[in-house]
Amino acid sequence: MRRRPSFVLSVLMLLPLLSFPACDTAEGRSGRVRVELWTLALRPRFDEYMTDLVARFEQQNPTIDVVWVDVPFDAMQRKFLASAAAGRAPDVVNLSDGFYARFVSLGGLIDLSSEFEGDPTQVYFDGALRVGRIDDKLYALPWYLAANIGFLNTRLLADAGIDPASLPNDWPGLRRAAKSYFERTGKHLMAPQLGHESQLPLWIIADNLAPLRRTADGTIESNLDDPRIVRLVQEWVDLYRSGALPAESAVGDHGSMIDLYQRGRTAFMVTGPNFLQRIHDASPDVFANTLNRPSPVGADGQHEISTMLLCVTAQSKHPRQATRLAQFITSAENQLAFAKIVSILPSTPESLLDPHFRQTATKLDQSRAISAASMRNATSHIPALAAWPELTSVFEERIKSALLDGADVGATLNMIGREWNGILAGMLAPGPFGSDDVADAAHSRSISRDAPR
Amino acid sequence: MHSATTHTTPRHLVVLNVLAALLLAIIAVLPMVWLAGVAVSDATVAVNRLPTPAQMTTTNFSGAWQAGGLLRPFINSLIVTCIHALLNVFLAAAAAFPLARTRFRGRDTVFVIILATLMIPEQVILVPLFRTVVKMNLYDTLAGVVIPFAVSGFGIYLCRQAMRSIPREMDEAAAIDGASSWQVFRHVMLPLTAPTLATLGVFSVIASWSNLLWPLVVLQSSSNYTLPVALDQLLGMFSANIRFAYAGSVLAVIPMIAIYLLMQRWLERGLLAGAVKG
Repeated sequence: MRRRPSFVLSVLMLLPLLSFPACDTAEGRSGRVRVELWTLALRPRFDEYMTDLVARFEQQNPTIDVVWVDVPFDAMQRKFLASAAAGRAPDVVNLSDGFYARFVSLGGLIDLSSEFEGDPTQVYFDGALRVGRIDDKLYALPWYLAANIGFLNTRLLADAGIDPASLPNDWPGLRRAAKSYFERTGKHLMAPQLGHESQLPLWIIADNLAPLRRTADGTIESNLDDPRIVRLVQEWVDLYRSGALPAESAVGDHGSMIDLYQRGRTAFMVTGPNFLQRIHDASPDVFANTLNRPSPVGADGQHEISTMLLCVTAQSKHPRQATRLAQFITSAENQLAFAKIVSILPSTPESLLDPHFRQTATKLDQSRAISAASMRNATSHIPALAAWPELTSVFEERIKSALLDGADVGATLNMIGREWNGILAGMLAPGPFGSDDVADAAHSRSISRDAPR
Repeated sequence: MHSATTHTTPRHLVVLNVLAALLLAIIAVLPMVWLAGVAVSDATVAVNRLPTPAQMTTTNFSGAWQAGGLLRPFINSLIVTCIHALLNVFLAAAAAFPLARTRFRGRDTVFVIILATLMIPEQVILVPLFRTVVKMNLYDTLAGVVIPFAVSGFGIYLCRQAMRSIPREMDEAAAIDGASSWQVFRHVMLPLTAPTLATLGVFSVIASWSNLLWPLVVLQSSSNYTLPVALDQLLGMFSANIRFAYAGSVLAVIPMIAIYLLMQRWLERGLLAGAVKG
């Protein structure tokens, strides 16, 4: 029978597709173990660092083959969930402190306590390590982190007749300054995230207030009806409704806040020092007018830190080797090498003693030095609670209605509280805030130990 | 023949229409101008400003090409797009033919089910689709990118409507001459619905070339990345070189503009095909 040309053509078309074999994540060459590592948004800038890191680990561990995969930030949660559902999650995964607890609650990560070689409390800052602890189990090793700093556009402030040194550095003072800046110039001083990716729950904790409370039977429930919390949220909502904050404060994400600053639309923002390089690349004139200083703090006097974490997944067939890899990557020596090529801070106190963190020759150096010095009084205010991402998600959706639709703040917080209680129903208060409340848990995360002075 | 009473649109309405059309055109084109402007601006220009001729450079294009290692992703996108478009056109036409031309029990139900798939967003079926691809051992392969979307409900619908607009006498005449169903499909239906198939081909090319979500999830090795995934990586967490990313996006858009210009004539005819049933 004569074969039809179209059929032959179809087969030829499919050949290039089938020439790429699927990746086997379990076993590598015979007798060797394959460990898959997923990192967050490090390519292509850190290809060399990561390739060298992996090569050195494989040299020290000749029976382990490491497969390094870098995943864009926005895709990580989706890709990790899909992979886990299909039974092919990686062995080691790099997650952000903002959403890693979600995967703990789904049973996707393992407790590293028994696999960790040595005492983790001797390796990492207490506060950074506590981010990875939930229910007294160690679900994550802290990798690099950033203590937030303040960015000021001196030219915009000067145009408004404001001396940058006189701009308050606490949130109540900044709220007043934003109002008077708007009244004077018709422009926005800042675009804090109140709705989408809301910082309000963390600021509540930073003001020594507890969004959750422990009940007599040991369970936890919402404490959002606390009049002090209602007053604090009301002040932010009133500021937004007065027009002193842009629409992005209600609906924009972290990227929008940076975008407004680098376009010269706001004169002040708070973020990690690593974003200074992005401003340098995108807006040279804004970069030239930018002055850095320590970030504003709440009543607890603690600067907020953001921590990147390394976790071992429950689907890993080689948890011991995976933990060893995570431990190697987060070691003091390797974190110091990493911190020397980018504006981040290590989670290992030993690394932070290096003179590198006291250099102030360039603006980028200065921002890193300010961030490093802030570590004396810095903490992650994110509670060690698996349900926290779900709670914040509810908070964000509801608070937007107060910001955008004029809903009553007290009623909105009550509604959020009821939804929180539904999520928390029957949940026992975990270790870190077994003593009293969430505020205590967050405050006990101070990472002042051994920070450079 | 002209109507005895011709209506003349008042001049102010014509001006208003032109101004409104101009405004819409500016709104549509402005992001593209901005994209191109940032792509050709040197490092001294802020990303919210357009460069002056003295501030223009082409180094961002070579920079993006090298920093993003875009050659391999470009080839991968080319492979994926070509095969995706060809499969989409052929399979949609093949599925539409019996739905348009033969009578069998449950035909309308099958068609309704196909239409229903149009209402399910890609994100919803992401996890089950991913599981299927992994079970088929297609994870991290270009086949895994193409096969799940090798045919679409929209394509089948488009082809069915086009085939229904062709007079039945055409295939009846072919059948009388002894043509088999395959021959009727191959020698009557495909040539007569060519404009529609070309339109579907263009839609498939554009959809496949710009698809980010699915390749991002299903691909793992950078050597298998398609162009949108590779461009996404240029926007890293630490230093997003926006000029490189924009220059890369301009490079990625050029083939689409070329295809549109080449296929424009077919596209317009195809969009009208099936609008009026013959």
